[in-house]
Amino acid sequence: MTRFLPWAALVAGLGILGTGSPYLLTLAATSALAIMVAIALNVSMGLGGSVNLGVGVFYGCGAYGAALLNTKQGYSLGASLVVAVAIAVVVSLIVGPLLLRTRSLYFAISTLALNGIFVDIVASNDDLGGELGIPGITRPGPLPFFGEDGDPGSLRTMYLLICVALVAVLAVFAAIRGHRVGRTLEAIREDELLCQSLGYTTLGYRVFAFTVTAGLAAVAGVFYAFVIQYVNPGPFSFLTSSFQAFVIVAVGGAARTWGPILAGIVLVAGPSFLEFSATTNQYVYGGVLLAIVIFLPGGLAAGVDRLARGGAATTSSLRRTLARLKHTRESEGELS
Amino acid sequence: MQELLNGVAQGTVYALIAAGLVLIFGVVRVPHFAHGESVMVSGMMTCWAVTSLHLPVLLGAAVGVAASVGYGLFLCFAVYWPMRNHPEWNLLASSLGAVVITQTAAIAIWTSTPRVTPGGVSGSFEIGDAIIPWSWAVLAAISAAVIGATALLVSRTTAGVSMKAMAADAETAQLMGIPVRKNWAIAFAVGSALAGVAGSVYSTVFPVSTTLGLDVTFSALVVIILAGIGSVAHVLWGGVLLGVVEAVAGTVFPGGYQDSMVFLFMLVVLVARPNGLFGLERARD
Repeated sequence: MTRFLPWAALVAGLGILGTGSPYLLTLAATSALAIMVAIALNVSMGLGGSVNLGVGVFYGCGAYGAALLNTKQGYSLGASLVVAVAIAVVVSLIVGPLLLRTRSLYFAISTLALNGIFVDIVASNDDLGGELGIPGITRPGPLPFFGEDGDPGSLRTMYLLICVALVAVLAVFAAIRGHRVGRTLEAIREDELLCQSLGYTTLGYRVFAFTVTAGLAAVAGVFYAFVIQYVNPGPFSFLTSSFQAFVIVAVGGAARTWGPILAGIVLVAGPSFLEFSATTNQYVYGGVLLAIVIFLPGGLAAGVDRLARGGAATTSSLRRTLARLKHTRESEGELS
Repeated sequence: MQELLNGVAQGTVYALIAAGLVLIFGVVRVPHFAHGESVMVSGMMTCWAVTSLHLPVLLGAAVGVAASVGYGLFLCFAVYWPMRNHPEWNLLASSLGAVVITQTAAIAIWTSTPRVTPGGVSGSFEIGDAIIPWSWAVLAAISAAVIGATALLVSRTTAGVSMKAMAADAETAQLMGIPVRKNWAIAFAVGSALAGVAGSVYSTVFPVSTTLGLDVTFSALVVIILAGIGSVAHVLWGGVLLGVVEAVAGTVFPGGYQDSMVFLFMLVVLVARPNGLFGLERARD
């Protein structure tokens, strides 16, 4: 039963926020989107171990795709979701195998470059809105039980849909993490050479993780376009999107299901609800980030775990198995 | 021709900054994204020392370099050294945290208006039909000389050779009695000093602003990718190449896309030759 407790808490928390003012709803919705992008990143960075600093590209693909489809072709939210996510997945399948030839920091830098190229293209191309962006995205009508009067402008409806998407994206992450594929990804993260020698096509798994990240980030992007009703290059630059997602994953605890939620609350939702000045906000952001990364190497999720277990640190069974396997292989190597 | 020479001058500065990052990134394996902030701190301090304290430019530059070295050593021992056994992405996250705090503080102190240190070299000379300001020539000459000196330091001194040993295999190097902590300090001090020289000299020629840090880091990373991580001297060619590519992209695509061309060029190099254009050694990761 206890494994459903966090889910219940999440749904309850989102529900309570849903009764707030339009201002509160907008803050909650944008925080939820930032967390969603981080959960997406957690697949390739947390499980797969590839530090991807270009998740903003796919977040942007979703948002720009939805904005163009809605304003130019009149696509609804649902249709845009399908088409824009498909575009992001195709893009990731093209660039993924190329970029994933590089490793560790080289991969991080090449994805960073990808983000730079994306922002430069959308900012320079007038068909994509240029610096001014694309305004005038129409939200879907309010849900039947709200009625036109109960939800003017459909903000509450959008918030509710974003909450559903957040829970769904988190469930996808939890499912992958628990599945054989997720375990293989974690093994590749720990020792790629060992996995190759066991017969796994590691590049295939890494491309899979990269693509899942792209698809889930694009989902967040589509909802961004429909809730804000305006897209411009700013929110998809490295500093505001990819950097933020990377920090949320690192602070929450890589590969941990609840890490991005915890870190998102501490780093994104908390400061915006407390309404500091912009400068104070930056100090708090940088300071909290440094403090957690230095003193809690496993992230907030590991910290919460340790509290729950009364202070004892845990070693994952995966690490122990890998160490044993490696040891066996090495001693076999000595014999032959 | 004019554009090419502009590119070369700009490129030597990139190379100088990148050479500092090679020491830090290559020897101690820290993804020091706050390296560009060292450049910014030095540029702003030089400008402040010359305009507010009325120091001569050379002394002002010394103030800038000292500030930059202090900043680098502070980050080294307050942030990176305690985290030396953490996973790489934790170090990356902490360096980005340092960037956020440094930039916010710098904007609070110096605002974000670009400024130039007065009192640099003036006048210009001509090569063919291109007009080169003397200040650019000085900038390029200082950069090349400092890179050369650093390359000698790494290849000829005991400290340099032991740093190379650390770069090759940190654990074995420690077992052989190489003072790891001292070499961290040297790498950060020398690396930040190079950034400091770049920042102070650059500020006498071009305007510097408090927000330039991350862009500078990105350029330095591009240079390192082009040159390969192995050698300080190769960085000079990587920097000049980046400067020229930027200049050419600027003339071919005047309406934007300049950043894209640079990044795209880097990606092509990275995918085709993962060890860099001039890298002879095999990359270890």
